[in-house]
Amino acid sequence: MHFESEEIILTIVIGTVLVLFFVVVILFLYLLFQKKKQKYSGEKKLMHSQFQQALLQTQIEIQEQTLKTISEEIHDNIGQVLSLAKLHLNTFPGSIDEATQIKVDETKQLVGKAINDLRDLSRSLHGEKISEIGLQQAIENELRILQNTKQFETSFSITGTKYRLDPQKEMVLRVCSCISSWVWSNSCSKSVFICILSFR
Amino acid sequence: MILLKKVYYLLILINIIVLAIGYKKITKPFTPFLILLPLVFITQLAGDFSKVYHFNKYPAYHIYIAIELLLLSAYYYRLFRSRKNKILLAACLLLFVVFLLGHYYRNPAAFFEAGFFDFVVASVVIIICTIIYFIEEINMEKEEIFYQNPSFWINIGNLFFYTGCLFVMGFNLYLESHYPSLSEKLIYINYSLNLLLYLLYIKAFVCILKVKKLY
Repeated sequence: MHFESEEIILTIVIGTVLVLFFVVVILFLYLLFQKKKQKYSGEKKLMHSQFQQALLQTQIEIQEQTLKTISEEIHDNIGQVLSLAKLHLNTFPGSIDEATQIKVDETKQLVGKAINDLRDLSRSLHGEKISEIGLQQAIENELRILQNTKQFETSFSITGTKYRLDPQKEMVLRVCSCISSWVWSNSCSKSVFICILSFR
Repeated sequence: MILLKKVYYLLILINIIVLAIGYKKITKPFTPFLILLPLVFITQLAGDFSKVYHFNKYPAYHIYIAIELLLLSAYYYRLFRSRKNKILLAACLLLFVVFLLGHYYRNPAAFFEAGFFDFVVASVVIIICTIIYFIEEINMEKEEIFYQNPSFWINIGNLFFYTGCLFVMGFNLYLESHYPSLSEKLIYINYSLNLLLYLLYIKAFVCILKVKKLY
């Protein structure tokens, strides 16, 4: 009787322990799988973000290349043609009547202005040039263009330590350039003030 | 034993309190627990009072097991995403009802005895449900922090409790009639697993309080 009861206890306890052991194993495998799933999902997200970044980088590079080509075209072709036109105007014979002379002088001034404007435009479009001269100089150039229109009063100041950004970040000027063109076309204000607070 | 029982009552009460606190945050799948937990408490009290007032506690237990399975089935039905699994659950439930009716038709006295064959069948249904739940979680594409999911803890508790109690409850009638003292010793397994179950339920309901909506 005593042995019989011991056998029953052993059977039930061992059976229960075995079943619980299998449950623990199943749960362990489940948790392992979930962790791997989370790791895989994290890697997938990282790859996706890296791909998006590469795509964005390529877009920026293409855009920069296009702007560079336009800038070079303005500088090397249109600028040269206008310079030649100005030269021709300068060699205009002096034996003309006064009214024509006034028109020639005005045309010379207009061509000169067009050459200057195109030079400024060419500079602001050239990404490498911006990286070369730095953000401060590039902003100053932008403001000078606005100032030259004689419609705006501009001022520029930097507070803090001056340092060079890496070339990619220097492209922040594109944002300034956009603001400048917005000011030019939409703003009713007469003064433009840019202040850079520099922290390292 | 008395200490274990006190802890057991305390855990059920904590469960009820946590559910009451987070009443507004409880999402649809968890609403059956609002009925289930007070029912556990009342059934357990009835079982303990039966010794004092000398009445048969087993009919209350058998009714409780049937209601418990119905409520847990309602929980799993709302929890499952796949229609196929919902149909499988409904089929299991139907089989349980057919078995229960057949069992009590063949042996009406079983309703008043310590035999918990109905518990064993109900356990099998719940174990199947927990396995289906884990399979659904594995196949789910949406990423989710599993330890913040209340259902994860509820299902771990259910899996441990119902698998662990299978042998003890299955042999309960035989042990009570042949070896009553042995039966009293082995019921410790049941109590220990109950404590684990309600501890994990508390963890699950605390998760509900923390996270508003997971489904």
